[in-house]
Amino acid sequence: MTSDVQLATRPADVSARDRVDAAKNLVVSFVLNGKPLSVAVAPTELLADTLREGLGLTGTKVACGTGDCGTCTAILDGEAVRSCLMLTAMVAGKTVETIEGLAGESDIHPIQQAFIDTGAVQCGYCTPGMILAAKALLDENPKPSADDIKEAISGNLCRCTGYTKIIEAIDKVANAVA
Amino acid sequence: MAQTEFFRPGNLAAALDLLDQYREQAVIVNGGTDIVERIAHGGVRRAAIIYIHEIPELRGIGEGDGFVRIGGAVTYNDILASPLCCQFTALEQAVKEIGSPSIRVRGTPAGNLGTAVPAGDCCAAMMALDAEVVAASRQGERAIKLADLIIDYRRTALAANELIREIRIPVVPGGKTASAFLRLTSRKGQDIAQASAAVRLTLDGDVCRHAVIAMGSVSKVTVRAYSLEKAVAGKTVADAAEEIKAMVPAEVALRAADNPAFAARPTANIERQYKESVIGVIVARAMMTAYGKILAGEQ
Ligand SMILES: Cc1cc2nc3c(=O)[nH]c(=O)nc-3n(C[C@H](O)[C@H](O)[C@H](O)COP(=O)(O)OP(=O)(O)OC[C@H]3O[C@@H](n4cnc5c(N)ncnc54)[C@H](O)[C@@H]3O)c2cc1C
Ligand code: FES
Ligand code: FES
Repeated sequence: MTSDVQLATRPADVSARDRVDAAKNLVVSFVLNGKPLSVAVAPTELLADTLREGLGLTGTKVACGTGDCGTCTAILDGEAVRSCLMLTAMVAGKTVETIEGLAGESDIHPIQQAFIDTGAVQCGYCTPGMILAAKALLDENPKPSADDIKEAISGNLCRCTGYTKIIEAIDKVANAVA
Repeated sequence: MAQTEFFRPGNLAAALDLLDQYREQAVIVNGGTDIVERIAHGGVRRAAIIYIHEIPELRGIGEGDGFVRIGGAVTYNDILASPLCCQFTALEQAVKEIGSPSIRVRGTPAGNLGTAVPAGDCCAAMMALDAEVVAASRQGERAIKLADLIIDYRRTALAANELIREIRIPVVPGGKTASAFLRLTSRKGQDIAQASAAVRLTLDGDVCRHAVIAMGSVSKVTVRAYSLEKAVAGKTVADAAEEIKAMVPAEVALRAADNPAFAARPTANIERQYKESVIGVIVARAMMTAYGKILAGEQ
């Protein structure tokens, strides 16, 4: 394929598969969704790839791979971070939460329920990242203002909902948890 | 090339030993918000990844010898939580605008300088605050002013075995001095600057005794505008602002030609014209904001 306009591309590109297939000469131990775990990874492997390709936790999405969209959000020691901008080796000894860790045996998490009840999910692609950004916020600040909520999700893109329902859903949880 | 190895040195001395051993074959990773993408996608391939973000000696913010000292792995969130740092309005304003919460929780000013792109908001803010870095290696330490640190697009004056141990910002006695940072972006959230300016202004009555002016996103490096600084010294603030609006576009036109950000794009000419037409106003507004701070009695 050729194009008249050269779009900015990465200087070199390696697929997620290639990255995950590189020699795994490093064992990284961390706590994932409450359970201690050791996983063999390549030193250049992204946390997003370890989660998705290595551990099969595909609730974490990768859309941009450049830190811009927030679909790959994970919670690292209580803070929402970009798993596409973290090497797995960087999380050794830390606590990582992904969307798979939120629901209990029989219940889904109140934030997940609020997203459903409010109609904050359309295609759903942004939803895991939004919910994790919301969780990191509410864990630290259970009564956020509307501005706090907007700020907390300001790095998470949604192409469907126009954000209003997402903000409503987060606000609803904040006001329900007395 | 041999297989990449990942190192997590537990202290500064161990990090400097590794850097000394691997030199050009090493890459420093701090918060990782710039460099990890390049490492993972193959843009940067090195034998050693040296992860310095959790080294205790690099995580502190302190004061001494007339400087506020910001450790080489201090994050943007650490800066926003620090009363010592928030006396520097330009720095606070720049940091608040950077990325999104997930970027500010990991990203560091030292990494912003290390990346050395013209849109680096901390580069501009800290340059106007007359900051310097302390570069450390096994051989010792040296101080480098920011205008001497950033030598080309994505190039710093750091040697392969050096790292930024701390960034120092001189504390200027309050009352007559204040700073401000301003940037123009295409979108409100999470975007990089089309043009930015930072100014530290010192007044003498109503007259600019001294101004330090830095501009971002208008050349291949963050620009310290010495010529403008000379031009506004001794003028009233109102006259200085007019002078800036008149002078800056031409200054920028002179520098734009070697901005590599333009080279690859078919819209280069339009972008240049746009930058030339807005940057004068941005610099003048940053100066007026600093002036307003002085009048309001803030530092
Ligand atoms: C979505 C997104 C939005 C962003 N928005 C902005 C923005 O608005 N404004 C802006 O200016 N930037 C922005 N950035 C860029 C980036 O977040 C900053 O430049 C940040 O400061 C980099 O810091 P870091 O610690 O993550 O650096 P890293 O990625 O770890 O390192 C960056 C470079 O600096 C070197 N380095 C790091 N620390 C040191 C040290 N102590 N000594 C020597 N070299 C060192 C590394 O080797 C590397 O070359 C954005 C990035 C993303 C992904
Ligand atoms: S995939 Fe990580 S921010 Fe978009
Ligand atoms: S619901 Fe589709 S991107 Fe948000």
